[in-house]
Amino acid sequence: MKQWEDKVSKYLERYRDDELAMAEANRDMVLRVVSGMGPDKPTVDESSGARAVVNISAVHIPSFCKPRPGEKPYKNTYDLQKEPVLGDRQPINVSSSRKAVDGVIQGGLHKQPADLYFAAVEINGTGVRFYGDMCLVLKRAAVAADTPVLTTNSYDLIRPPITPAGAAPDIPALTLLIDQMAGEWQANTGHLAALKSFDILQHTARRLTTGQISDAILEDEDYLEVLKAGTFGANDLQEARVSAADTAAEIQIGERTRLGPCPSLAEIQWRKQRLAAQRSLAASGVTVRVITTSGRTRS
Amino acid sequence: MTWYLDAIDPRGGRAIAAQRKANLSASSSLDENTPVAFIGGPLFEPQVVSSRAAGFAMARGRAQFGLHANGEEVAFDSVAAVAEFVRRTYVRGSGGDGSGENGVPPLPLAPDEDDGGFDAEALTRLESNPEIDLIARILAHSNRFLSVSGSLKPGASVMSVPLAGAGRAPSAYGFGIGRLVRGAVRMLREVVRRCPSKSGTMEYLGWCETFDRALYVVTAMDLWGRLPRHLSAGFNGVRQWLFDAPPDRLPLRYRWLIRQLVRGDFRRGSPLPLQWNGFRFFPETYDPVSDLARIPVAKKFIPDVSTDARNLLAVLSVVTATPADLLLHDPKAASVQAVMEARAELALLAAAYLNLGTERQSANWGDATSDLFLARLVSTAESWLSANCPKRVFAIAVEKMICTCSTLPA
Repeated sequence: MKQWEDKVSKYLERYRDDELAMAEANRDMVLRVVSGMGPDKPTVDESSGARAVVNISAVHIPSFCKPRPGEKPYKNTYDLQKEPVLGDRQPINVSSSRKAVDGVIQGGLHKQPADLYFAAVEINGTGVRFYGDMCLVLKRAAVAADTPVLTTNSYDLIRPPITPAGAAPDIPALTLLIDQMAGEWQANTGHLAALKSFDILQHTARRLTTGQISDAILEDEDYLEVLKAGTFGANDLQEARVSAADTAAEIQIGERTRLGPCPSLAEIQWRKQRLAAQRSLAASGVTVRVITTSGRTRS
Repeated sequence: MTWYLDAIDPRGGRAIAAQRKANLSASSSLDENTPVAFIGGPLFEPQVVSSRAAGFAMARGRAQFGLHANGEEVAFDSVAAVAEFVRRTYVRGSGGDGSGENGVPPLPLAPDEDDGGFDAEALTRLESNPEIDLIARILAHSNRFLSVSGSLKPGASVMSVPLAGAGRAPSAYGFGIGRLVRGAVRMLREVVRRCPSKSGTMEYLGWCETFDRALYVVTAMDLWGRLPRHLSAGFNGVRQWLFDAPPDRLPLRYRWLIRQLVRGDFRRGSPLPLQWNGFRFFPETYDPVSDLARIPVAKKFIPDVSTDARNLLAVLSVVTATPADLLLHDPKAASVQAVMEARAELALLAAAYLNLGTERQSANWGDATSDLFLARLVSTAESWLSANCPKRVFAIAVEKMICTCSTLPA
């Protein structure tokens, strides 16, 4: 998909010569960071660079590390259809919005929704915190080279500005559009990241840093979406990450449990499940890192 | 306008809700310009998010898509009500955690037969009076909670009345000490019943470690000397109900130790070597939460969860998150009332142990001072239980739903 390289080049055409050199240097910097090269190193560090990550709550980690016979380790909504839910179970195809988005993905990218596991592109951070406090980082090899990467959450297809407020999604148009929103994991993640970084960061006056790039690629609920085919297990993980903020809360709850005043039961259960998750990951040979800065580097 | 859940992971303690119409399934586009909130642990304070897309994406993984009852979306009258619902489902759901989610070894296996007859025959009968009895107040609170819940229409919620009695002077908790001790007897009895038949096995090692933690709970609160007072047969009751409990295989070393501990406490002329040891035969705990998570309770106290999840910590989840748990049973049956009372005693014991912190009794204290220490502990435990009880009451259908959370798989 050379189109993404071309889109980056076209983006740079807007600059005067004195700005262009800095913008090109920053484009190269983003490509290097995504590929796992340090700012001044020509070699790729196998543990660095962009990765596909998923976030899940700590309570689900033990069953992820040690699934019951016949169960998938990491489950998508289709895998969970046979499990009990809170309240009434709804048929998988009951949601018009999901039908619309999955239909667009199937029609435009030729991927079966039931076999898709949605992840986010991450560099040094801890993923999308809304989805869970444990960020599971997939090994580079666990994601096929031709895996689609979208410029945004696929549900943005059915909200403004792509789908106007109150309007029904135009499925044929969106099916054509999604192809324009998708790159391939190996060939295009760097270009997608460069365009997203340029949209967010001022990049013609100063050189961008690793941390700035990492933060721009995934910030809060704004991310590049990876449509990974097939599930994965603990063996497919490079590492797991937890945020410094959550870790501080965990330690403080632990201190109060020992010394008083006693934390709430919700806090106690939350900390207990995080410790149990880390035990499970350790037993599966997965390192858990506390992320203190998105600009971290590796030796 | 009413709030509805776009996505909720009840076991994970996460949800995204929106102030919108009940059109989750019907609408194929996402309403914009509507308040959207993320709710998650450990504090469960709503946080504003910019788009409903995050909630829809959340439902592609472990979270379920929306929340429905009787074919309709469940409505909430405020974002605070949604947050309280998510918190309570999480706490109750955590009561279903097995050894993996608790991070502790598997619970010792329970004997096939139940423990019928123990409560009726072993423990002295206590007159239940909410004025002086914390356990009676807990049960009255549950009944009041149920009554309020029954009066609510679907979608409505009201602030919950706190557990009565919190804030009383410690001296008013003399009766509570008895309840605490009865909880301890029940706890010990259940672990003893699970003693494996063969020593030198991993199963036996696990049981010994569990029993040591249960013994430590009693030691840390210095309840040993009080045990015979709450068993109908006094010292003989200790032998009958702890040593000779079926399957009658408590190891001799433990029998000797318990006999010494029960015969005397710091102030009752126990053998000098025991005093020199400060009654600290068991390693100080590093994590009281793990202790509670690995001490088993009988099936009757949490019948609906897996066998691996029936522990003291789970009892706390049930009692605090779902006072309406009575809904799952026949509240008029005498046996159900007895089980609820016994379960509340176990919850009190667990809450007191969690609230003990670094405080311990001293060998230099007299009985009156020791009573005051324990009364203060019971008072603190009641305040803590009250603070962890529901902030809001929902209609019956929603309350029933919360009660089912501990059966959901993690």
